[in-house]
Parts: sequence; C-alpha cells; structure tokens
Amino acid sequence: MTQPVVVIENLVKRYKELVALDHLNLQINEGEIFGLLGPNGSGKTTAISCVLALLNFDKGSVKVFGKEIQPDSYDIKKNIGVVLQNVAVFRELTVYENIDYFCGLYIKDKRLRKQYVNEAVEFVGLGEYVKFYPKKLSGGLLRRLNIACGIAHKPKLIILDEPTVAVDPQSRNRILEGIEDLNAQGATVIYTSHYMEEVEQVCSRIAIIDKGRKIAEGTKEELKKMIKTDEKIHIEVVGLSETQLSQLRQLPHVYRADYAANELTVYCNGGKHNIVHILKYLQENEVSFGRVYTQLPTLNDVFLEITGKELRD
Amino acid sequence: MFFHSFYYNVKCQLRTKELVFWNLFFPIILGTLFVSTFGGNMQKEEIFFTIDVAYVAEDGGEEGFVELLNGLQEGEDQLLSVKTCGMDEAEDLLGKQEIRGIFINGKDGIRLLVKEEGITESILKTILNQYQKTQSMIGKVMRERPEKLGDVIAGLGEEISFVTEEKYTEASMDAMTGYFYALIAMNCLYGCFAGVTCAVSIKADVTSLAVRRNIASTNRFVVMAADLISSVLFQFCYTMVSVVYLKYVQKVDFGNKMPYLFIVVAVGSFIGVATGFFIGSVGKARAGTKIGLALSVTMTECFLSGLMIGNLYHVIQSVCPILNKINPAALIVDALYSLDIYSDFRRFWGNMEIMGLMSFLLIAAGYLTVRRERYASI
Ligand SMILES: Nc1ncnc2c1ncn2[C@@H]1O[C@H](COP(=O)(O)OP(=O)(O)OP(=O)(O)O)[C@@H](O)[C@H]1O
Ligand SMILES: [Mg+2]
Repeated sequence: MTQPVVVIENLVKRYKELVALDHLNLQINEGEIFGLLGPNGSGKTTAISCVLALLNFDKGSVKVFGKEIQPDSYDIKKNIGVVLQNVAVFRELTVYENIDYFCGLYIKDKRLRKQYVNEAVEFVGLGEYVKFYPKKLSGGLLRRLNIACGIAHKPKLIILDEPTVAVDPQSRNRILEGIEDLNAQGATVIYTSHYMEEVEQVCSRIAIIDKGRKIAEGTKEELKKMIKTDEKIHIEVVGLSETQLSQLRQLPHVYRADYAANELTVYCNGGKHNIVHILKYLQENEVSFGRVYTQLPTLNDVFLEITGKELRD
Repeated sequence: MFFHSFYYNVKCQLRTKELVFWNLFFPIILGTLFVSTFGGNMQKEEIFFTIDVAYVAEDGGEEGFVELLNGLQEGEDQLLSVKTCGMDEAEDLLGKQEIRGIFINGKDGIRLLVKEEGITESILKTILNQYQKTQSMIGKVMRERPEKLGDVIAGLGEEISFVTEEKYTEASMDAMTGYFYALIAMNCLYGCFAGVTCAVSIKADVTSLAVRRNIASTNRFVVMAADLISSVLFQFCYTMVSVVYLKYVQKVDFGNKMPYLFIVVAVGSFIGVATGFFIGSVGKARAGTKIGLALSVTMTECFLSGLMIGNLYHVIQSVCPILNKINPAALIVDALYSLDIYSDFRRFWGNMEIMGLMSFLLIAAGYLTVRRERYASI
C-alpha cells in the first residue's frame, strides 16, 4: 500500500484556556475523499490550519506526504491546494486575474498556467464571469471563485473547508460533483463540513469530531453500524394512548418509541419486518393511521447517539 | 515568482481608488490651492512697509549717512522711519521692540545694533552695506561738488529699494516654497498606506488573503519584497507627477533642484512605505485600524514639518531640533531647504542618510515580526 497522504498524531492545540484540538489522530490515504464532520466550533478549521503549518500547536505531529510539514516546506506545499472557509480573493483583480495570481504562486511556466487557469474557470463554471470583479459576483459565484483559486494548480491533495456554506442547492451540487471529478482525476480530498448530507454523499471515509476529539471514524456504513438504530419508522397516528405507546415499546427489536404532534417514531435495531409488526399492532388495537415511512439512520443519528446532542441545532 | 507578484501588485495598486486619490489627486489639489493662495498674494500685495529705526549721532559722525537716512524716509514707498535720539533712549526703544535697529554714527564709522535676526534686520544691514560700499564716493562728492550730493543719495536710495524688494520677494518665496516642500514630503509619506497593505497581506492573523499566500509554495520573502518594491516605485511616480505638475503647470520655481528632487522623492517614498510596513507588521489590529494609525502618524509628521503652519518647522528647529532630525517629513523639507542655503551638499546627503537608515530599520523591524513562521491563532 502507498503511504498515507496526511497523518495527524496526538495533535493538541490550545487557544489560551480553550482546548481546540484534543489529542486528535487522523490518517488520510491516497485517493480518498475524506470527510471531517463536526458541528460549529468543533475544531475542523483549526485542524486544517495545523496541517498547513499555519498554526503552532502544543503537542503531536503532522506529516504530509510522509514528511513533517514546516512553514517553509515549499516542496510539500506545492502539491496542496486549499479552499479556505473565508473567501480570500483580491477585490482589485478580476475573476481571471485572481485565479491566475494564485495559480502563479505555484506554477511558473506561463503557458501551462494559462491552460490551468482556463481549466479551473471551466471547472467552476465561471466562464461568463472571467472579466467580473469579485464585488459583482453573488455569494455562490464568489465561493466558486474561491474554489478555483485554491485548486487551479492541480494539487495532489485538496483541502476544502466548508466550501458550500451559503451556496444554493444547485451550486452546491455542482461543487460536490466537481469534487468527485477532481478525486477521479487522482486527487486526494479532505472535505470539512457540518452538513452531514454532503459528507454522506461524497466522502469515502468520514471522521466525526466534536470539541476537538475524534468520536468516530469509518465509511458511512461502518459508522452507522456502530449505533443501535437500524431503522426509524415514522407513522402518522391520531389518539394514541400512553398504554398503547408502552405496549409498542415491548415489541421485539423496538428499543425506543416517541409520540408527539400526531407522529409516532419507532426506533428499531435489527430484525426484519418491523414495520409489519407495528402496523399489525395498530390495526388490532383499532388505532387509525395515515402516512407511513421508514428511514435508514443518518450520520446525525450517529452523532446523536454518541454525543447525546444533535449535529445541527 | 517575483515578477508575477510584482505585476499583480502594480495592477492592484492602480485599481485601488483610495490610493490613487490620496497619492495623486489630493496632493495636486492641495498644491493648486497653495499656488492660488500664495501665488496671488505675492504679485498683488505691496510688500513694502516702513521699518522703525533709531539714529544715534556720536561725535565725529559722517554727514553722508544722515543724508541717506533722510532720503529713505521720503517718498511713497518710504523704507525707514528714523528717530534721532541719544544712545540710552535708543536702547530702551530697541528693548521694547518699538524699533528694529539702531544706527550709531561714531568715530570709527557707522555701526548697526539689532536685537534679532530676520528679514527686517537683514534689510537694515543691506542699507549699511550699500552705504559703506559707496562711502568713499559720497565723501568725494561732498568735498568736491556738494550740489550733486542729492542725486547721489537718491541713486543709492533706489538701489537699496531694489535690493530690499528682492529680499522681500525671496522671503515670501521662501515661506511659500516651504509649503510646497512640506507638500512633497506629505506625498512621499503617503506611501505608508501601501506599506500597511504590504504588511497585512503577509500576516495570516490579520487578513485571509495572507493565509492563502502563506500556504502557497512561494517564499513569503519574495512575495513581500515584490510588494514593497512595487509600492516604493509607485509612490515615487505619484510624487514625481505632483512635482512635475507643480513645476510645469503651476510654475512653482524649484530652481535648479530637479535632480535632487528625484533623490529626495525616491528616499522619501522609501521611508513612507517603510513606516507603513512597520505599522502594519506590529500587532494584530485590523487592517483599517492600522491604516488609520499610519495616517495619523504621517499627518503629525507633516504638520510638524510646516504643512499647515508654515514656520512651525523653524520654531521646532529652535525649540527642539532633535525632533526635526527624526521626523521624516522635516528631514525632507530640510533637505530641500538645504539646497537653497548651502553651497555644498553635506546637509542634504546627511538627511538622506538618516532617512535611508530609518527606512532600513523600520523594514527590518517589521520583517522580524512578520517573518514569524507559525501563528498562535488566526
Ligand atoms: N483565533 C482563535 N482564538 C481563540 N479561539 C479560537 C480561535 N479560532 C478558533 N477558536 C476556537 O477554537 C474552537 C475550534 O474552532 P474552529 O474554527 O477550528 O472550528 P470549526 O470546526 O472550523 O467551526 P466552524 O464549523 O464554525 O467553522 C472553537 O471553539 C473556537 O471558538
Ligand atoms: Mg471552520
């Protein structure tokens, strides 16, 4: 197997009193789209900044492409592309010039750079806007420009820090597809987000972090296997009594059932035909029900079960 | 990489409206205002006024000088108002500043007693000098053709008026050029804005653009050097545009100082950018705060060099000369004055050296703080 692209070991970072990263361990392998999922303030950006040798840290080590990264590790840095959480572009330069400027910090050859810049423009779909100044771009287009500036030089490792914040669903899908394309072209991707749907959609492996600690790691299937819930069943029910609810809780494989606002939610772990058993019970007890649907567990459920709180509030 | 950064920094500078306004239009507007204020003044206003003096005759005095004084008291542009009195009274008047000088006509010629050094006193000296130059001729005329004495005195009076007029013009020119010198200094020192920008765009804890540059695979020192050099170059060009405008459009007379103006403006721009760079480098304040601070520092320097109050520079020179030695604006003004006053360039180059050294120290100190490789927080 090839060597891992990024290895973070026992990383501790304190901002004065606050412990932002608490003995964090991560390993990102070549060819992965690695998702770093965590709520606001969990330390995603801090971790990324440490990987980029921007921040000093209290303990631990960060290796990129097998070497400890230092601020002057230009040979490592030239293979990294970063899309920052904050949009960072020159107001005085047009879309094209911005991409060209940042690409030029990596690529010396003018012809090659021109080609790369054009490909990046194409990639984020800003073709019509190359002559625009950032001021004239909408929030979503600005994000796309931000992405283009980070990846134009075709890096082997791409780090994206919440690239889809404040982007409409259409642009978001475009960005996600783009990330998959980049990955298909051979780039290893680290993707941070607090949107679990996104992470579920594109990432091949995921680490969930909270308060600077890794609380779970694996493919999304592996993560979901870690928790009890296999299936969530939602049923519209009118007038369910307290006794009936507790009887429902006695059914096999049901480990939790909630009833609120005419909706019954039943959590099951394992077992087959759970829905049939439940509906049968309701029929036998002459409880009328409406819409029924079942849901597979989400990463939110994983987060919920491990930390006892919602990923998003 | 250097030229890439340089090229884009030039582009950014050209497109930063605030920079273009404050560096290019503002000085030109201010210069135009100066010219329309002082320029008009100089031509229209009668700059003659009468100087009060005392005349003390000791025994054995010279006749001719009395005639001359009488002659200068006559006419429309009466130059002198002479009070003939004893030495004690004259000294008393001088002490109370009711008169500006005492001519003492004694055994060994005529002496002038003054209390201060200034334009008025120098005119009195001129009168005495002119008289002494022609003294022997006057004596001869008095002996041989006394009836011609009036003509000779009148001629001498005219000559004195002429010299005096020149002196006054020079003096008011001097006051006026002082303002222009201060204006040039201001224009150079406005390089501080670009300097602050150079610093904050390499400080990852102040701007996100700096974060992006910090993670790139180009040496930060190269990027920073490109920024600094292009900023100095820009400042130089901006200021030269104002100088050329003042000289050729507003016809401000810089004498034959043009080549030295080049040097002053180059070094001045350097220290302007360096000042901004230092302010931008030290501390974590927001970029806007730093720009505000740089502006206050620069305007204080300019104020002290006489941009708003013309003779403030001279006042400081007599009260606290060291201040003029460390204030870049004052150094620029002084360097330009020195070209008028001294025939060698010792003072000029001395000032350039101080400014060069200060710029170097400011940039070095700034660099040592931005050089820090990792940040404690971003
Ligand atoms: N410069 C700083 N000084 C002090 N504390 C900081 C600083 N930057 C971040 N923190 C704190 O460190 C913790 C981790 O912040 P970080 O920005 O890494 O979170 P994040 O996961 O990126 O959050 P978000 O989803 O909001 O971007 C937070 O509690 C935050 O308040
Ligand atoms: Mg973040």
